[in-house]
Amino acid sequence: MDPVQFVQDLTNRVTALAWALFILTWSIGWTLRGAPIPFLRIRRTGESLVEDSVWAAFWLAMGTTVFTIITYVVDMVTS
Amino acid sequence: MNIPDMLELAYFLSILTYYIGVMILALPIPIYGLKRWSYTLMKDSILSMGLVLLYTALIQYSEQISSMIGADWDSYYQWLDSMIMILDRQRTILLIIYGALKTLSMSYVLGDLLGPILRMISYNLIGVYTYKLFGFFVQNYSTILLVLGIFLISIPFRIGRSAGAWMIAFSLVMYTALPAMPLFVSSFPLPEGGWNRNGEVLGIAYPQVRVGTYHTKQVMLNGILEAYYYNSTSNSYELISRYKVINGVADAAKPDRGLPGLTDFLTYFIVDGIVFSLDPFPVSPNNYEFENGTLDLQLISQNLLCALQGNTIVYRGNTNVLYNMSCSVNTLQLQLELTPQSYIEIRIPSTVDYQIDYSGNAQVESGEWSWNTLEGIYIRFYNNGNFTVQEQISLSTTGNSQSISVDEYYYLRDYLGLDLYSLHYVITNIFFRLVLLPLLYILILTLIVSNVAYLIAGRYLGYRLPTRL
Repeated sequence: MDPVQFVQDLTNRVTALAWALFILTWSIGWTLRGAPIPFLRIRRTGESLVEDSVWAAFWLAMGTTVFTIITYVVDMVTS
Repeated sequence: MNIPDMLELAYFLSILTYYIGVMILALPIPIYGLKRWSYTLMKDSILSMGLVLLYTALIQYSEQISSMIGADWDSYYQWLDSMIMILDRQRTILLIIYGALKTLSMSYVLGDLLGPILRMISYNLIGVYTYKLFGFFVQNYSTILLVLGIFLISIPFRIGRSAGAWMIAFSLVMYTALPAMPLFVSSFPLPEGGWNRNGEVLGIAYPQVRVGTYHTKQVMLNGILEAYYYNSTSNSYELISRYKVINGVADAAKPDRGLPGLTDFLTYFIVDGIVFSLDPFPVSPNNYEFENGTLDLQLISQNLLCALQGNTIVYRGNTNVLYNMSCSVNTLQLQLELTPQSYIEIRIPSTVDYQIDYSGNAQVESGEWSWNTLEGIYIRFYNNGNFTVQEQISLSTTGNSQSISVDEYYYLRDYLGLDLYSLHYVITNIFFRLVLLPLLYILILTLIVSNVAYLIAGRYLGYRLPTRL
């Protein structure tokens, strides 16, 4: 198998997994935050999970955009 | 795998690193130690992607900086080649001396002296060849090292970060600065030893030179033996040696004296102010087997007829003079036939008592001469007429030879500029310039490599040098 192809496949899987994890984490985060449990620590953990997942989503979107632009520019330059 | 493929792989690896970082950020596991990796990986991926995209620029910049500091691969190799040539020359000369010294009784002593020096030259050569090979490696493989370094840096989780950074730094620094090594070394000018003449062409032999006549192998005279070499490049004759002749023998068989062992040379014997060219004219050392223990170089003068006590000489003006002679240490009986425009002359130093009788129809002239520390009278029998004339001379002398002062000019020490007793200094000098200074330069570059690697990867590599105590 071509190593470039392998790395690309791996990247696609990791990206998909990251989106999936974002949704999972976001849900878990809100679940913990909104849970009717009077433990402040758990609610704070939920909040940080939500925060992390939102940042992850932001960087995912950002990364995809930037990498697409770079690939596009490099292709344009090399061709 | 070629360079573009490798760069492509590095590019995709850095994207992968980024997404792994984001994925870790998105993990629903609230552990700080794990989450910290996410931003680290994202930053790493941006660095490695930057390196991938700047690959061409990096090469261009290092070439530009290299030319700015005046470094040039061609001159680097030329410099090393010229050093190899010098060392080869010196080794050849020393091997010739080594061979020639075997004819001397003290050869084993000089063998001890020359052996280490020859080995030193070999080490120097190994050093120079190593720098040449190192240059070849850096010049041809630094781009591969650079790509490999970028590839290693792109691997997720900092697996190849240190090695990659070191490779990138090595490639950039060495490619930029290694060809400037001649500039570095030449900025420390050091005095050089002799070795200025082409001793490997002239060769070296250590003969005992005996000056004789047609009638005796060795004349009992004190004089000067001069040898000349025809230099075809400057189209002139160069004095290569001047040795004192004592009782007809010039001692060239000392380590720093010698005579050429490979090239023809001309010899002259100077006594009582007269210069005699000596046969064979020129001397071809190839005809003598100096190296097989034949230490005698027999030279004869055609014009010198007889040498008597106290440096008295009898010689003829040219070879047309016919004679019948009986010559001993202190008496001479001579019957002459002087052809037109020829002469014969007797030179007697003032310290010699003499008795001379002559009869015949040659014209006679006498006067005084002085040469070196000697002075005396001469008696010349000559024929200015058109017919052959005859003359009979009988001469007896008593007196001791006077010593003469000669400003000797040794072939090896003075002409070749090869002082055997200071060879250590010359070779050490070369060792310093050819091995130690370049090594110092490479050490400096290695330190720079280390720091550039630190700049790229942000931490020291593997181990630290024990510079901090």
